[in-house]
Amino acid sequence: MTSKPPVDPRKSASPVQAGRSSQGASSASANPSSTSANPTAAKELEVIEYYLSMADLSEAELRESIAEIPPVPTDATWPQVHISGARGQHGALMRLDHSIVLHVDGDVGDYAFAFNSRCDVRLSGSAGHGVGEGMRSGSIRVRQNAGTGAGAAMVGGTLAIYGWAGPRCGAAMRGGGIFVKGDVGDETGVGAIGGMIVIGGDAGHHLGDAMNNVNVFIRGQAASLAAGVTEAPLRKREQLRLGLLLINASIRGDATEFRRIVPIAMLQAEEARRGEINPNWR
Amino acid sequence: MRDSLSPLCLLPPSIDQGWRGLAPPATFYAIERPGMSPVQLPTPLFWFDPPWHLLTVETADALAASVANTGVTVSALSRDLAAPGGHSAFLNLASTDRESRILPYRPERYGLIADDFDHCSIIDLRLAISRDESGAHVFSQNQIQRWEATTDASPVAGGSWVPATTMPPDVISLDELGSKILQLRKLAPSAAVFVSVGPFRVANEIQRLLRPTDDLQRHPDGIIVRLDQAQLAPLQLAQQTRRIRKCLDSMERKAFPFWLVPGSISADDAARLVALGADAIAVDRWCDVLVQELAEPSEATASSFGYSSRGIVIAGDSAKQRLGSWVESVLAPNVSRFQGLCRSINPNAAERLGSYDPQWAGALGVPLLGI
Repeated sequence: MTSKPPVDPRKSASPVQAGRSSQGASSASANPSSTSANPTAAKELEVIEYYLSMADLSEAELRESIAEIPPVPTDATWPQVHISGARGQHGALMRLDHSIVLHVDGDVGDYAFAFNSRCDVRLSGSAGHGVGEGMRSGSIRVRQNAGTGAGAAMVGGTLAIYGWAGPRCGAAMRGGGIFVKGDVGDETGVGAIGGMIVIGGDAGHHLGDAMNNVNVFIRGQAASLAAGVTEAPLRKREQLRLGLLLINASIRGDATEFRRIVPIAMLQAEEARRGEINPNWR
Repeated sequence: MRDSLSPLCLLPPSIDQGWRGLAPPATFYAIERPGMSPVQLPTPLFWFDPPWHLLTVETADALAASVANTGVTVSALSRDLAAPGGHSAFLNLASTDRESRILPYRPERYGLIADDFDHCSIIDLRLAISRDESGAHVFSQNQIQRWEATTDASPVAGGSWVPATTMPPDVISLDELGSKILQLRKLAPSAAVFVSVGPFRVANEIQRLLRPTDDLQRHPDGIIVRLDQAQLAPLQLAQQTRRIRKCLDSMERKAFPFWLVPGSISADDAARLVALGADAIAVDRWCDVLVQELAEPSEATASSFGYSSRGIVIAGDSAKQRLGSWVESVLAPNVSRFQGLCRSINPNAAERLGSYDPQWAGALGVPLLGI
């Protein structure tokens, strides 16, 4: 990645590379180290970078600038968009649907990155309530903490929080995966009907309340499990899925350190499918 | 429909009033928004909670378009009317501003997708908890299956019900709802944001929703009250309608849109509720009979639209035209009667209503009529 200083996007509209111009967004040259004798490899490694500021641009201007970033071929490296000036703005960068990597420097407020698709977001600070609400695909990596309802109603993709998350993390989620490196608050996974939640630390009360078809993996302790959920054996298949999520979240860890919490009904259905017999009959 | 509010009379002008021309019929119903352009709807009638999952997506879509064509604003998610990746004629009409749509933003958000924020006129932030047909606070398997597009082989919750909730889990409390309202405004800038609440603690909830703030955009643009959940007697329905309006008046929000879901009413009752202070009226009972007839069709209906193993599937222009004509024949007389009566209500008159019944007159504070 190049280490160019941020450029005021309104002053620079002359891309270095032909065909990569974008009004409102500035582009810098590809990393010189990516050039290669092999032209195909060079094209794949080419990194286009853009610098935008939330302090200088309105929400609409910011969205417009991102929308103008030209798409790249599926086999090319995604454009890197560096966003500065994040100081707790609410509703930041919602409904983005672009194959880009967003590097957001600072903190964002409530409902940041809600209903996004495809974007790979990397936030250096903390997020408010409802980060990643309804996200469909892509990933969000929050380097610090997240407020209440992180990943609420998300449909797909990966939300990784490297600090702690507040209450009701993963509430009503319908798919995708959430990874929280630290602790989570009460009622994690409440009303979730699909997906996977991984908790690296401890959980609060009523873990898994009103939860269906969801696997929760926890490394620490839960203050209490909700009625209707139970601890279940960590099978090979879950180990593989968990390992994949850990890789997606760029986390080093052994899947076997985690315990699995699931709805009792789901566990019974699994056992029925496997034809298992409870050995306690004697 | 029975006139349950018939003890109330819409008062005509007194005999000593001069001959006045009638105002031209309103071509739209406008909702003002602080600092933003108003939202226009064809009439102050809406279909609050259609049971779309009882119909096939094709039939639901055709019915939504037909009902909207009569001037009733229809509530629907795109998943209610089209399979994932499918086409909805109704949503296509809404995208061209030819029809209006309410987006039900439930706390659970099952079935909600990002595209739902496009082409909606109203976002209904639904704090009134849902009930299924059994009366429990749950969503049925069929409902969840429609929203989440799950297969019969792998249903959510193993095919059982899924619990419903009231407060969105990413909102700390009702006092913090302003942040969610601002988010919805950003997601759908051209839509008005309403909050729907139940009837049981409505005074307290209105006070908290409209607590003083420097930023009026943190307030909803209107409120929807589900009085239908309380199964009120007719006089209680009238009293509650009047009290809610007075509650808003006392907070100096005289023009604040107050929409009402009253349950089963006639067109005359709907006009009386407007005279009592409601701004728009849900006509779910008028429209639900259409759903019932299509979901469990009589022989005549089945032969008219065609029946398959999936039930009635309205497909093709001819069937859609027949459906449109049928829906219009059912709804248009009521809509027309409601609009006519509303035109007769003088908004500036001190007395819009009266009653010959001393109990009604006393309870509602309207003139006791008769000698």
